[in-house]
Amino acid sequence: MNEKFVLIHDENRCIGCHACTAACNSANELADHQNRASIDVKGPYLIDGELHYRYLRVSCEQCDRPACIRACPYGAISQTIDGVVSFNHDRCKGCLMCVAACPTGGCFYNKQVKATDNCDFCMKSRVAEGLQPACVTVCPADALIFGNANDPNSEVHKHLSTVLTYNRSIGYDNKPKLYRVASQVASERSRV
Amino acid sequence: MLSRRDFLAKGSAFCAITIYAPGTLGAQSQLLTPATPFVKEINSICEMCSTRCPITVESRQDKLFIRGNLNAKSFGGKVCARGTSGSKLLNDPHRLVKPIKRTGPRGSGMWQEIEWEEAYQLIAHNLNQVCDRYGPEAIAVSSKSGSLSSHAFHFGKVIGTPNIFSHGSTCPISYAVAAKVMFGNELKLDLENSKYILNFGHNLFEGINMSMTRGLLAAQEKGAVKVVVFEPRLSVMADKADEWHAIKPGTDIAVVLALSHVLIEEQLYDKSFVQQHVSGFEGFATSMAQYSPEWASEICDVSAGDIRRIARELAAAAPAALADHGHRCTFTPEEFDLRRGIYAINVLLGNIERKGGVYFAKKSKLYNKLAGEAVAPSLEKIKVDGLPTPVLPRIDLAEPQFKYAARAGGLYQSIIPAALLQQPYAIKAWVMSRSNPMQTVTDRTQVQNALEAMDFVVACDVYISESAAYADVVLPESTYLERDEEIGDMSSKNPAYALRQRVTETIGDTRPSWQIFKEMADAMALGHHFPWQDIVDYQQRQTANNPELLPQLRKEGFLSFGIPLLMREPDMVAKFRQHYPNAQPPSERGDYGNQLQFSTPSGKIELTSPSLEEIAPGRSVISYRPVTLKQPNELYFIQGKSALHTNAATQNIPLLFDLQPDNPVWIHPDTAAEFRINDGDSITMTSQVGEEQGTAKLTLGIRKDTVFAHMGFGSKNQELTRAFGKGLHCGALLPDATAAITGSNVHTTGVTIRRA
Repeated sequence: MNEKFVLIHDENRCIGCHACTAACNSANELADHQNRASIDVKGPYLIDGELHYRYLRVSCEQCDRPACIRACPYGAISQTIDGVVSFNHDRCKGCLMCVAACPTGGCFYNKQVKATDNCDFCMKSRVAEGLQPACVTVCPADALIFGNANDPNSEVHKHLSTVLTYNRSIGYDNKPKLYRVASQVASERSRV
Repeated sequence: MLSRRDFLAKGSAFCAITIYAPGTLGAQSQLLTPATPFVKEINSICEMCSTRCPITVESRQDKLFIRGNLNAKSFGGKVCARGTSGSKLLNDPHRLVKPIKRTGPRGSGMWQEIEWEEAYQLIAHNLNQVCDRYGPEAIAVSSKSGSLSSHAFHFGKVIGTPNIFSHGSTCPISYAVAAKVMFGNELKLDLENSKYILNFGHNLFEGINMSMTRGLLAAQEKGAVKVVVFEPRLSVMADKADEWHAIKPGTDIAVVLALSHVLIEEQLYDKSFVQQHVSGFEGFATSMAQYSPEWASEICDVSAGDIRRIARELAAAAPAALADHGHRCTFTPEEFDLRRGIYAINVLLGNIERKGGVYFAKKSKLYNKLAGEAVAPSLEKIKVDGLPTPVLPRIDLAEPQFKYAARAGGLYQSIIPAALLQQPYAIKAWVMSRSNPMQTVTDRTQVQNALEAMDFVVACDVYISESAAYADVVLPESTYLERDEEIGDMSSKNPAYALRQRVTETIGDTRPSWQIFKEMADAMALGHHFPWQDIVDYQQRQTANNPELLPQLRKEGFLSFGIPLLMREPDMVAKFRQHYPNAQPPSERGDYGNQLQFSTPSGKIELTSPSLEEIAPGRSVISYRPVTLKQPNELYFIQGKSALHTNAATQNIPLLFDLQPDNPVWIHPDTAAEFRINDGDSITMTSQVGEEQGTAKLTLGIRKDTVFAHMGFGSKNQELTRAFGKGLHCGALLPDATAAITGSNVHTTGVTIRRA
């Protein structure tokens, strides 16, 4: 069975507290002003006469058909058999073609390692040690769920088959593995 | 791999050259890193805010990763952004790692590194001089609350001054005093099991208190709770609530009283509970009769219909319904009756010690008594005999109405008139530990004047904070990741203890506060009043009767004993009795309601307090008193907490600074249009005491008559290199005002705004 690692961000639960951003920064030893993942609190928007925010995770979406790989002239980006896209810092020449090609704003120039970088769901670090990604580990609201979607016993599998999720529409069929649960107005949530 | 210092050296070639203040980590001539490599996984307690979440520090190679301790179930093994950024504080080149003494005028930023011995001698000499000339009462000792304060406060007692202050009056004192007067003890909220939650501006999704935040989230996840928020702006809390009422600032008390009015008028309150446990109900009911929802709606902009409906919904959900007492939100000089009013709603709902209501912490003494056996170990109180008795009363007891507040940590702001006007008598020296009154006490100019008027000031901190910048000597305290501390009681529905322990060797020449205050006393020849040898000795004295507790805590970090118990919940009492066969017999109702004790003069919950009448005439009954918080041409100015910063303490921490460097001012677009202000414009905000520059953030999420900013920004001392001058300094705009009885510093005022 092929593994398919996915991340679900539940915008219903997210409180925009940036614990994920800070954990990512500290676990991955990034410069202070750089993050692989972040939360964009947008709004407020007027929905059915009520004001509400929207909580949008901004990070690499781990596409199944990644534009960055096709754009990289140096073969510095690779995808493993389980679909994880990761950046090889030694091969990167810093031409930023990947940054230009990425439709989600998911890759960035990492000043610490002097190469482009992305969120790889902590696959090479924490997940390899049998732990959860840094952001998932700390999230106070349990708004992030990570795991193998092809494993019928996994929480992500259960979630994807029972909760309505969406992928951000990004113009072409790149099949991201970052899934989102759209936030509902709270008063409606309790009526369900 | 680049080391931290290499990175800094390389970084400085590209960036503007950073100058580090003497004594900071960045100013040290040699490379300072921990002496030994990190151990794998250590359990401890966070200190990035005052909630003290149990944490686990994972160490791999030379880096730390901080997450929550899974042993503490209600905390869920989670930490917030501040908590997981702890390692950034540890390695910040701007943190202080060497004692420094002032060499120029106060606030000039002229410092010299000194050795600890010299620092202690300087402090001993100067404090002794003040003692000799004016008496020990002329020395004020202040500290942030929490475990580290105990050593600073003990030092105060040892030198014989009554003037010991926690940060309470700039933060949580209101609900603490109100609870003390009504119940004799503080209350906790059972948010997780609640079916209806009223929230008056207690933003649990930004001012994160992990177990409460997660309790609320869990209740919302179950979908069985209704959350109603009253707040002038759309906080994340208001966004996630079922109902948000954009209430007029400082008028929450009107809604609170009107809710009680409806509960009584429509006979919706728990009569048998009131009969059994409450004293002074008649006086309370008579007072509430005048506060109809129609009356309240005129004052607070919440419709009478909504207030009536909410009261009925609350009663229908009772006893699994509660009104949150709030935290650090001193809206009005009438804070005392606001908080008492909130507690009164809980009393009327009969939710005390019920699921989804409010309850008292079950410390081991009470728990073991109910269980009839020693379920949980108890900590020994360490008594020190022969401490001097202060000759004069505390400076904040000049007015008897502050009797309760003085016991609950005191009126911090009373140091200012004592220094400037010698009222009620002179304060000439100030010992502050991890406290930043320049940011947290209102009217910054006066705080600065008071610091300048002092004969001697010593500050103990991890940074040269805005207040430490005006000290004569600043002592570098070890961060919480580098120090051991005494065992803390974290009991909730059952007894629990937690232990902070060092997870890494100390960087630079810093010392933990237990050592600093012990050694300061040594230098003053008062060391015999600190009879413990070191912190391990202290911990062993705490656990003298349960020696196995300490090693267990060292391993687990957090230990809880027994099963959860709410005394008026028959199911839980039945379960408790099954668990503990020697448990006390229940009452006729099958609960422990008959065991409930309130340490008030009447032994009951005091809805009116005759004893208050003696110290504050006219205050015994909860009532509404009109207040003026702003002039007609002004806007209300309110502040609040952010999920990324803790009040005035974390603005300079690298990653947190990066995520939130300043505090743009929230303005409604219609209001902004009136003043021709666009989003992102520089604005000037003026109050009766100051003028501050800020940036406008236009948002629909705020009332038109109100502006909002997060607190703690706009530092005015250059030592905090990152935070210096970023954003608007709230304390510089707030006039000095103190709420009656509770003694809290009022944080709502009027301002005018214009484009800068």
